[in-house]
Amino acid sequence: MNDMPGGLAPARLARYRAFEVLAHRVVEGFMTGLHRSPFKGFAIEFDEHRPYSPGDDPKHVDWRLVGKLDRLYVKQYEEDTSLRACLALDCTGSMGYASGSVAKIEYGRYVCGVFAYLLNRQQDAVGFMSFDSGEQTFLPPAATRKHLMAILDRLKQCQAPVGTQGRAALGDVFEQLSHRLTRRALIVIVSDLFDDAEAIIRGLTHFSQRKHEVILFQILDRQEATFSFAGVTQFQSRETGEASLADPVRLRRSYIEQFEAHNSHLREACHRLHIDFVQMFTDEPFQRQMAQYLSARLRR
Amino acid sequence: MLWALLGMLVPVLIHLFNRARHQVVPFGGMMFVESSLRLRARSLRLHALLLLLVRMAIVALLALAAARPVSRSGGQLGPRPVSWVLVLDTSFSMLQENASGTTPFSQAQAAALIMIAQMASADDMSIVLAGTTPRVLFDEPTYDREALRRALKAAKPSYDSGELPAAISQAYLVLQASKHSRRRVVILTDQQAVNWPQDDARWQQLRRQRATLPVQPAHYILFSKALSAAPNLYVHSLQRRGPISHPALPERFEAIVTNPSSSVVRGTATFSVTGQPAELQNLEFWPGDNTLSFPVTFAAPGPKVCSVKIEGDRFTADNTAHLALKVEETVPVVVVNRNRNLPEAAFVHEALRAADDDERIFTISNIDFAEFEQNLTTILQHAHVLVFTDVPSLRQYTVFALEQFVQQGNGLLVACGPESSPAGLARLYKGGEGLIAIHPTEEYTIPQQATPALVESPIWRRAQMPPEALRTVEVRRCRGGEEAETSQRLAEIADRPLISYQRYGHGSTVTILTPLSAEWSNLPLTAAFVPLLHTLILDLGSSEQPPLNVDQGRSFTYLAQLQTAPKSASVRVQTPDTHYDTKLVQDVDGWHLTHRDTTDPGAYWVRPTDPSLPERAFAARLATGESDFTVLPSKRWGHVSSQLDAAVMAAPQALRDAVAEEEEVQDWWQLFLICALLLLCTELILGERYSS
Repeated sequence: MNDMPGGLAPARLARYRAFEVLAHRVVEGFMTGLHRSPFKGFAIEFDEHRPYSPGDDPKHVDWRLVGKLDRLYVKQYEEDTSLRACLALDCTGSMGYASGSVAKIEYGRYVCGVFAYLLNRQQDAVGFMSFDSGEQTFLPPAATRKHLMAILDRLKQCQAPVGTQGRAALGDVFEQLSHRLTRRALIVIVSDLFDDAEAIIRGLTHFSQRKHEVILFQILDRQEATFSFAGVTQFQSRETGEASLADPVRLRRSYIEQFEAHNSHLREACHRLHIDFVQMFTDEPFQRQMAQYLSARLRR
Repeated sequence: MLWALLGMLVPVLIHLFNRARHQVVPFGGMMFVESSLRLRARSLRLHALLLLLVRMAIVALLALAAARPVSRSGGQLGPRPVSWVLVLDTSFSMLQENASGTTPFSQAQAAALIMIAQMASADDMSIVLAGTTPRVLFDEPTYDREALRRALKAAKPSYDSGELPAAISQAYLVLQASKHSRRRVVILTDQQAVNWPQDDARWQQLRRQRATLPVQPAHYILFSKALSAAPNLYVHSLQRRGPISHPALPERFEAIVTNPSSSVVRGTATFSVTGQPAELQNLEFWPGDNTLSFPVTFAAPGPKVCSVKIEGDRFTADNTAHLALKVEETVPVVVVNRNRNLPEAAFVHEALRAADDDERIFTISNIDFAEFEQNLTTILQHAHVLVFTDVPSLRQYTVFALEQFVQQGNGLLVACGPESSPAGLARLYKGGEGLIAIHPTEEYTIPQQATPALVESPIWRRAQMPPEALRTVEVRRCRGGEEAETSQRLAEIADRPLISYQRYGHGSTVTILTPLSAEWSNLPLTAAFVPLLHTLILDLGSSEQPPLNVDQGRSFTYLAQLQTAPKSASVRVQTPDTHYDTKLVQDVDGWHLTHRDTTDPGAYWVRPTDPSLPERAFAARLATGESDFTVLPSKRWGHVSSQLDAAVMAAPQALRDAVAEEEEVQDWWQLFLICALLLLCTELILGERYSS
């Protein structure tokens, strides 16, 4: 990944300033920003009239129309809201795997960094959560420059070391995150999604039910997709430390079948839940992949 | 070859080695690895085990195929074809005639012909003749019965001992090329011990060679009973004792007859000259060597073949010996003087003539040195002995011509007088490798009597003067000097050489150092030395060139030195049993004929059609080391049969019965090879499926 030198310095992230992160689904918020609120409110920009119904604040009644039409109409306004977003980075041991020079966690940190920068630049509130099998860290959403720097600092500290503490239950993590975010938000999840697919889907369903918009980045190493090892190999789990001796040549076909089935299952579920499912490989240029996704999202 | 079965361990070791040297990879996608392993573990283990077993089986089958295993069933002779190799002993002893006049060789031939007739149609056969050098008649076993019969009938004994282990080794080489799974080696021989060496290393070598054969052959020894009890007299040698054959000189021949037995054998010995019996002797041959002497005086010059034949035993093939010779009409002697009028020339002339007893053995020419150099080529062509009464200053070319002259079988006598040229002496001596054996460099005064040396040499034995006669001469002054290694002293003074003799090529030279006494000039001009000088010159003239007597099996050459082409180059060559016509061939030496086939011992005559060309007689001497017959003791027979794992039998009928009871042999190597190939295909398919 030659296009990632410099790490998460804001100056490096500034190359993405031409992009904007727009929430396509309704996002709560009342601050001025790029995102159109789904709520018909009473702020600056008039949207439409609607018949008065009991309980409406009388101060929103358009008295001019009353005079003209002798009926009670209430004025409704559409207001740009500020986006609340949360970045979730998987720091489990599997994210530390690198067959080449770049580990998946490094790639994921950069994805989070770019989103944090863009959202902050749009004056949107952005929060951050990292999780592994044992602990979670959470920074609530905020839109200040200082908060961006805090997220970037936290990103820099994210590691995915080999450990024996076990695998993180992604479904549970997602459920907990959805409960933490009391208001609707844009959630960017960066993970390799190496967990039980049903559990992951169950966790993602919680986001949908609570009307969060989710972008799911699956970061993969090419070797994990192709399984092109040769010779008898002892595979050691980066999360549990368990080891299995196998001849990868003999195992490849079965491995790839399992891998493809897992991913396609996730992809279908994301499609059903209106979640953006983005697959990125660490051997491909980050900048190009990221730019492609953001451009495509802008066009939608 | 079965040790190769250990190769089965190789796939196991490779498998274990691969497992031991695995790499460790901390991997992210372990959930897929583990689930794949859970799903396929059983089939993978089964596949791996199957592959391992298949690979081990391939190695095992290849090892078994390489070992060429055979299995024997106890049934009767089956229809499977057999490769035969007959090892036919062609040693000299196979010529022994029994009472009915047949020989072991003819018996072996008859037995072999029976075997050929009784061979199954799919059988093939080769024949190895076991002479001193084994001869394979068919490099690969042949199906051609007629060719086998022809080869067998044309085979002849080799007049020598047979190397049976070497012949059996050749038989194994022939069997390497055999296509059949059953092989048989049948050895047809007599019981002579000399053919079966006791050298254990030879037998071990033979066993090792046999072990390399893909299919072990069955061995049979079919022997003809040798005439072991009868003593075998044989003529060991026949030699001429005179220096030169001439009608004027009485000749004496000596034959050595050997009686290898321990008892006295009565018999007769007949000496004949060119087929005409000259003398018959009734004798008792004592154990060991018996020397017979036959005095002869030839009536006329010309080529002769003298033969001696003894009678007294039943094996007559080695009872005759032949000797070819040329009875000279005259011996041309050329005396070369520094000065024709010096007394040495007259002395030589008179010495030879005095001893000649007016029979004109010698034709003496007396020339001075200038005349010699002028007519060098002509003189050397006609002279047989050259006498240099002193050594002049010789040109290089003259020395070269003299060397050629002596090398071709002529003689040179050199008297090194006080006025000899140092350069001439040096050229003749040539650092010890030249014509003369001594290089005189010093003079000394030492009044001593001459003493004979090497009195056992043929020259002294032929001399008509006793060696002791030399002691009557007192030498006051003499010359001495360097002596060549090849020199043989015939006489000396105070341990210094006086007369030396040496062989040079086919001829010989005599060097006389002149004592500088009052009585002596360049030559010992005294009556006491006349017989010695006569003997020396006779000996120098006695070489024969080209050799008339050769060992059996060697070639001889007829050579006619002619200035012009003969009227006819046709010649008839009469061999001991036949004759044929051929032509002489011209080369730089003259017109010649080389006859190579002297397998039969006896007389060979070369008779040109052109009467101007001389007739010549040659003789091939019997060269056998097997005349001293010794039957192989029964203990050694046991050793031989156990070394070869052979059945020994005396009659062809016994061989036929033994062959009929031979076990059926099934060769398995092809089956093993096919199975290995099939398994190899299986391995490839399994391996492909396993990896996919």
